[in-house]
Amino acid sequence: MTAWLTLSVAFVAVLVSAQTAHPPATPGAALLVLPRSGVPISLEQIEERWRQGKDGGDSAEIKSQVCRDSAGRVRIDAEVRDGSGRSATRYAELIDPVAGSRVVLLTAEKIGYRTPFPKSDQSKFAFLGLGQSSWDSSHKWGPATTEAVGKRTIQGVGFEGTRFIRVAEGEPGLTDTNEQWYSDELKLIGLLTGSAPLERYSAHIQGLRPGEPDPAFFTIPAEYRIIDLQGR
Amino acid sequence: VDGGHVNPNSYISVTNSQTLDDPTDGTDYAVNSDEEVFCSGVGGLVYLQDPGPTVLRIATTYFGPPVVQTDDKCYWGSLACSPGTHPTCQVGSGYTFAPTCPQYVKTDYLVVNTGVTAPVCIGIGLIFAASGPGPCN
Repeated sequence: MTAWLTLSVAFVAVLVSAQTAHPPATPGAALLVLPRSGVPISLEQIEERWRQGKDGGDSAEIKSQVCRDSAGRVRIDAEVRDGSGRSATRYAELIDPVAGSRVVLLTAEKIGYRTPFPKSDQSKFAFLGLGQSSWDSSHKWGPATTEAVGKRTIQGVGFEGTRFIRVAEGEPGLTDTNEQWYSDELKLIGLLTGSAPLERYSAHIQGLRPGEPDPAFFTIPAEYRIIDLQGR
Repeated sequence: VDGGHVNPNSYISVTNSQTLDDPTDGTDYAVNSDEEVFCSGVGGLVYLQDPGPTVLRIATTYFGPPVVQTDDKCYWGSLACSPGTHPTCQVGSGYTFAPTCPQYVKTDYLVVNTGVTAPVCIGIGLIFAASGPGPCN
């Protein structure tokens, strides 16, 4: 009876604690290399995030090895570190428009989560939370405007820039500005920058290497347990 | 059990002495090394045994206007969470809409918490057109 009561109390404690707000979470690696066919390539992807929290600034760095084969399959091996350099999470992501799947491999747990991915080469890619103002509820933000910001060379390749700007309503000096530099030739984003009152973000590529990556990169190791997720 | 994560339609078993059926959507369960958790996450089945301190959860976030479309890419500029709900994950990327981008979308993330640093939101690519705002967790 005592054990049952103890378990009951523990169970209630779980439910109560589960209702509390979640701590701020760090985003994983951004999708800079789009899963498009015909442009095999390998590169490193470096992302840095900083945002003002209640108890000071929080920062994170994400370093990823990325490769894409001729079929458009993409592999991202990401390591997320916090501001002190501690490694939070390592994972790999396999995006396969040929098989129609996307698999997240948790390398420490040896578990993979597989979701459907469209096979069409004409699909549009979604970028969510454009601009740091998406989470800043202390200001009311106006509509987004876009403007072309010219061309630049990154890693010896030409990229075209687009700037997204939002202005806080009633505070014209308060802006959320993001720039994206995209190469239609390589089907990848070479540089992303974002700045807002409470957050900064940047992502860039380096070590660009054209050519077919090792096919083994696009296979799931046998020791992984694969879980299929179909959506709610 | 200490706090922790669980997914909809999931249950948790602690050394075979406790079972939780139909828990609240979006709540969390941490799992210690001598425990097991079974979760039918977003339609699949998750089974972890002796997973150490790692915590897993599926989180949902709604996004809405402004929506910007450039070539083969769509951008959503704001969170669209129902009043009183808060998102764990606030940015991400995935696929796919054609030929136009809807005003509201919902997306699922895999939230991985090793207990060492802040949790990490991994976009698992499940993005759907939706009516918004909607409940975030």
